[in-house]
Amino acid sequence: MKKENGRVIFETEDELPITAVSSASTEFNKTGSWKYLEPYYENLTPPCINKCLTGQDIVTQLRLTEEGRFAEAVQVLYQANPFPSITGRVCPHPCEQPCNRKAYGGGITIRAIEHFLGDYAATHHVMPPAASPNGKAIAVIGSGPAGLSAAFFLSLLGYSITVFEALQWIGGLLRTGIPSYRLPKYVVDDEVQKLRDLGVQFEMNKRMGKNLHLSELGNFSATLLAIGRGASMKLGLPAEEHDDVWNGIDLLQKINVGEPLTIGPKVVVIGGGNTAIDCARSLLRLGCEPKIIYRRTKAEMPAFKDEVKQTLEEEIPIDYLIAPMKLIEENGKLIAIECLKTRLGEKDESGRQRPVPIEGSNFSIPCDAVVKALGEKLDGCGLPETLKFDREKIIIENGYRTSHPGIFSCGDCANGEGTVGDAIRHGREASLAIHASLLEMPYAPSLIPTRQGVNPEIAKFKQFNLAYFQKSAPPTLQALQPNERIYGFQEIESGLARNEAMREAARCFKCGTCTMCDNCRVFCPDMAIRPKRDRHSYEINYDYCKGCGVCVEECPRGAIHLRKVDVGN
Amino acid sequence: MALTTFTPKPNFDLLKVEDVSSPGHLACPGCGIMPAYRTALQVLGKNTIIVAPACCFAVVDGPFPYSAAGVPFMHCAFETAAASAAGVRAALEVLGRDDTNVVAWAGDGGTFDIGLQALSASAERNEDMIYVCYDNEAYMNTGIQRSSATPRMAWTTTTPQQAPKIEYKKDLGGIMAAHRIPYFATASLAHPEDMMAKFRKAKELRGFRMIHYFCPCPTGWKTDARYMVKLDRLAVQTKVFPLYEVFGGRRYVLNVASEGLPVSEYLKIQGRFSHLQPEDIKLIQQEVNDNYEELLAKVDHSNRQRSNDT
Ligand SMILES: Cc1cc2nc3c(=O)[nH]c(=O)nc-3n(C[C@H](O)[C@H](O)[C@H](O)COP(=O)(O)OP(=O)(O)OC[C@H]3O[C@@H](n4cnc5c(N)ncnc54)[C@H](O)[C@@H]3O)c2cc1C
Ligand SMILES: Cc1ncc(C[n+]2csc(CCOP(=O)(O)OP(=O)(O)O)c2C)c(N)n1
Ligand code: SF4
Ligand code: SF4
Ligand SMILES: [Mg+2]
Repeated sequence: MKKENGRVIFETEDELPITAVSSASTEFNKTGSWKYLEPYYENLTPPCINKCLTGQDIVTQLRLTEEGRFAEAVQVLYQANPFPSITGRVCPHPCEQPCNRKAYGGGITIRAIEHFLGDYAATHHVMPPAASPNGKAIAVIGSGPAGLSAAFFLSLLGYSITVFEALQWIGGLLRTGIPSYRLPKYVVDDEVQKLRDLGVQFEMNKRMGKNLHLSELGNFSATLLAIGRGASMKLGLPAEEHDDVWNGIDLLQKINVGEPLTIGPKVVVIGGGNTAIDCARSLLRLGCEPKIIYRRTKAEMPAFKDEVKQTLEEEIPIDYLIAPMKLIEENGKLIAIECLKTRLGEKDESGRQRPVPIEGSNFSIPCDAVVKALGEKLDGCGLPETLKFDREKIIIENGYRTSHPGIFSCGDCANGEGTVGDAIRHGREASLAIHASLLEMPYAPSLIPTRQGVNPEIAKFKQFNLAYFQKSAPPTLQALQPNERIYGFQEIESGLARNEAMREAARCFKCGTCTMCDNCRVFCPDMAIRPKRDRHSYEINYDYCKGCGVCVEECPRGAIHLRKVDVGN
Repeated sequence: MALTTFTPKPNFDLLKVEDVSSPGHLACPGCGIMPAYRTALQVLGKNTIIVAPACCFAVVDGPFPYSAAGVPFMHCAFETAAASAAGVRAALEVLGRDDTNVVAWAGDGGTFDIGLQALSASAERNEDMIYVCYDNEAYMNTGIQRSSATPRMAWTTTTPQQAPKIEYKKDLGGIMAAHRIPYFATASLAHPEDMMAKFRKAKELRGFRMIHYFCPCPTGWKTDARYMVKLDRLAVQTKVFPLYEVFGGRRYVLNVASEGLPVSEYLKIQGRFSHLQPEDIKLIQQEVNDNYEELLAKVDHSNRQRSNDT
């Protein structure tokens, strides 16, 4: 008797046992040849990750958070977003909008978890792995989120970084624009300290084009312009330069840095964006009676929906379909603003309906001051002449290059979409672009390492096996009530507690992502599934898999799929 | 009843045990026989002898000289699973070995029907064995003939639509409880931890122990192979196959409270029920509800007995 490839061969009749006793395993029998369908593992893209402004690997963060591995979750965050304590508070969280959990008890409060992780990182001083210096220096102009993000990633790439900032404060709009009831200033301080700990140098009161010139930056291998949009739009009305007429971001800057100011009490804020909302709410907290007027309707307001909701909770009136006409003064003091009613007309380039003033509908609103919050544009003053820019932005091409060799640009002053998250992503991508350029390599938009090899197809709710999930609701986010919050600038939302964050992270489906839950291995009737050595994924032994599809059906989160096998004729 | 039917994710470490059985076996894709066998042997270990009568399992294990079982596997005549296993136990006793698990592993035909006499006799004598019945609700190996485990109105080749099965499925749990055996349990592939725990309990006890598990047969049930676990889960959730244990033939314990999903959820993905009319489904629902009520009453009764005792 001999064995060949697991087969037993009896060479003579004498070798046969007296009674039929099996002496070998069925393993020689490659039942894989039976199948006409075969399963395969492929992680799909969760809808949240697809929408995340910074490009975070939300699922990996939540998996680590669920297990209480917060420091590791922060490290995953750092691959895309250095400042989770900031975005965890102010990001408009488009990630939460398409969350598949919405259909099963309530969407995951992704931002609140990020808020928790950001605070954890700050209190536990979680630092990214240090880089060894590569001997090259880079100048970053502007210390808003775009510049700070670039400073972080460039430091991690080994560059020594100096950030030049026009003002005496670091943080851009994080410091001077967003009020402390949404983003306390100590949070910004902590993030700046993290950069200092990484070796980033800051030079304040250095305005490019004024007291800082390109010629002084000769020692830097590259320069990154991240100067935001600092110039306010004008109303185009006579007497606009009046003392009682304020620019929204100038007003916010004064309030945010605590400079004394006299304004009001009755203030009309013109505009429908975040600046208008933040001005009105800050003024309310200073004891004024603000009123917002906007020339379109609530649906067209560019301000974040959550902010508008909170504004209305605070009983700040917002009047729609009103356009300012004339500033009325008496004895050098503003006493009213004359307005026209509007209606919505044809769509404009932005796709929104254009407000059309209604003849003869004039009326006036008595007030002591007016705040113009009409939007901001690029302040091109003093930028090098060789740099191409228009009223809106500095022109950049692929790889964040400007028309001036060696100068790169990112954030709101370049193509930024006007959010902190987007500015952070710009900062990261521009860093990689600068790095690629200095190495004379082609720039490829960055991909977070843990997302490599993931199918861009979005994981859908109907692909999940709900037997493995309980219908459960998100935690209620603790926030100050309107009457508790309007007398000061204390932060409105408090973050999640540790166990709440863990529970909420556990509620996440981990859409389309294998979590090694072991269902497939346990249920495979043909013992064809085993974990790979690295324990981060499974492999299928196609020699035995019969293609029944039980693993596909029992995968809770749609990470296994079936495909046809070519069986010929 | 505060129990929940939420299936927690199987615990990686709990289920990461060494396999005794091997792949290459001859079960149809999606057959429920081998997954339970694999689980059982993970718990029972190598020191086990399997006794199986004529049935799919006997074929699935492999043709001479091959076997997927990983332990000695004795084939016996269709009606003799329990008697043969009792014989193996007696032989082991003669050899002075009492640490070997003797396991009879038979289909519903070999258990509910032709093997019932041997089963009853062995149970009555409290023979020292674990008897596993994999219930695929018909004689599958010979071409899907009805057995006394076939549910009412299910299609089989001997109960075609023109002549539906009108008889009730036998209450195996009731029959075995009436024998006052030390341990009887039902088990489901959709609840692997529960199944493991039951094999562990059975292993630790002595005397006649029985595990009755619900075993989807995609071929005979005319369903998609991928629904193997789903069908078992639905059978529990719809009360068609509740998970419970009976200790000493008297003390009933419910392991998983059935959610009470409508039976149609379970029926509709199986071709063997595709001919059913709404009024048929109503009848099945009624039967399932009645059976479950009866089970709950037994569980309640045992609970009251216990609190009286303490
Ligand atoms: C009132 C307000 C509220 C907002 N709220 C939110 C929010 O809740 N969530 C959100 O995601 N986004 C919000 N935004 C948008 C967000 O703040 C910006 O998109 C983001 O800050 C842009 O980052 P940045 O780095 O490109 O520019 P900025 O933050 O504007 O930073 C630019 C920096 O460059 C400096 N600088 C300018 N010119 C020069 C020069 N010539 N030389 C040197 N330094 C210079 C500036 O002083 C400033 O510090 C808000 C914006 C405003 C105005
Ligand atoms: C005495 C006797 N009668 C009939 C048969 C034919 N036979 C072999 S297997 C089988 C059906 C077994 O049914 P079941 O026990 O339910 O197991 P399944 O095949 O469904 O898994 C029959 C009738 C036999 N082997 N011996
Ligand atoms: S359930 Fe989790 S992975 Fe899926 S979209 Fe929501 S947060 Fe993202
Ligand atoms: S016929 Fe049914 S019981 Fe028999 S091996 Fe196939 S699936 Fe399993
Ligand atoms: Mg059968």
